Amino acid sequence: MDRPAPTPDGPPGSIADVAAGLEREFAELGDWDARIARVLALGRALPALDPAFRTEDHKVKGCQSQVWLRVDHDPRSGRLRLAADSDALLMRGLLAVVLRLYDDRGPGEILAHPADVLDRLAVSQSLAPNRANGLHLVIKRIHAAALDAPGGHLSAEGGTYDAAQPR
Amino acid sequence: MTPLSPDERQWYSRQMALPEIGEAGQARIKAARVLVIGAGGLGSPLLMYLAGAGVGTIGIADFDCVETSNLHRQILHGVDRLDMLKTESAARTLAGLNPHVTVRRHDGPVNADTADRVVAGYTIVADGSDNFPTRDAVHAACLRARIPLVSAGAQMTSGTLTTHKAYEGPPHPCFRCLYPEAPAAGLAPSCAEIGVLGPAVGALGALQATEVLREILGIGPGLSGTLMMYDAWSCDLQAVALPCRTGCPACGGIPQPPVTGGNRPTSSVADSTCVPST
Repeated sequence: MDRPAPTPDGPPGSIADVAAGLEREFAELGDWDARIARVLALGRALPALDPAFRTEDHKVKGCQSQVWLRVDHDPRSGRLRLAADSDALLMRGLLAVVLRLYDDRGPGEILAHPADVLDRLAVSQSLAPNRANGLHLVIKRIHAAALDAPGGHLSAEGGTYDAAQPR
Repeated sequence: MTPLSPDERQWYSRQMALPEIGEAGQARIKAARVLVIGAGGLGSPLLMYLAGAGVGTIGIADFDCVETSNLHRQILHGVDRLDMLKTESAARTLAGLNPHVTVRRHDGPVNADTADRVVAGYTIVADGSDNFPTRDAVHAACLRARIPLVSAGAQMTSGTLTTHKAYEGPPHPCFRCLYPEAPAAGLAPSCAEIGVLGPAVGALGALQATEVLREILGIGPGLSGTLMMYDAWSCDLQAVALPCRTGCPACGGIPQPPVTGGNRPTSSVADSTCVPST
């Protein structure tokens, strides 16, 4: 099969690898103050979403903070590109974690990965329920986009289609 | 009990002029150590009135940051505090209100693992948190440590207020007499899109501050065994008798572990109680 053009392979390692790395990273930070400081630092480092995409369509409703999520399917790589933003720094930090897990991944890989990964992260264990709910809504939306993407529904039905491969 | 300084006598003169308080009462207020769980809508007036009243040591437990959707009701915080830890913002506000008060910050979640450590050393705990697992863990810790718990809850335009001191035995009801079971996930009002009226939650926080002062001063029978119910839209305040629940294990004087694990998300995405309103 000839690929139309050489594309980058996406982030190294699987989503599970990244999740394990995040779990290690936050566990090593030890106390809660250090973990929250890390989340806030991640929030400051997250690139701002183009204000043109801060629309009602991109808004994830049900979160305590305003949250916007943009999901684009890259037809060349077959992967989903994510961008997200919030008016609250803490939420931006949590969105940065979500993006590290799911950005630039194939729909199949996203759907195959258990969505409760954030619950296992030390950082998530310190969240207010309403923040956790907001985060869950973001992940739900990413899953919905993965399901809608070419190949997504095949993966969800247990097919072996590799969404990273061009059709 | 540390005597009042001349500066403090002047500071609290209008409060000490009340016959129920006087110099002796003010000294009791100064000697009190009160922990407030949650620096939000209830915690704002609660903490500010306790600091204003001269409660000697005030603890603030919270683990969230200030954001714009808080500001209509959480009057401890302002636009210059956005993205700051609420404990830090609250400590700044209280320091600005009354330099005679010592403020202790407890940054981080209060749950079954941490509650005993957080409540230790306080003479009264006032819970203004926004979720059941935290309330349950705080109550269990207070029961074990024999600390009176003044508990308020608010949602939309109404709320409740009561005091728990079940460590004194019947007829004092405990938190689990009121809520024997954790609310079903679908009923737990943790979603952010539920509305809340600022002054309604503020009125409950002010009532809660009054109850804390009544407990410190020993004025009246207190609210143990009574559930106050306030509704803002009808300006209605009712007292309902709150008896011990037959068979409630905590009322037998046997401290129980909390029924839930404390303040942490237990839901998966599939269990999330929030439904986007699209």
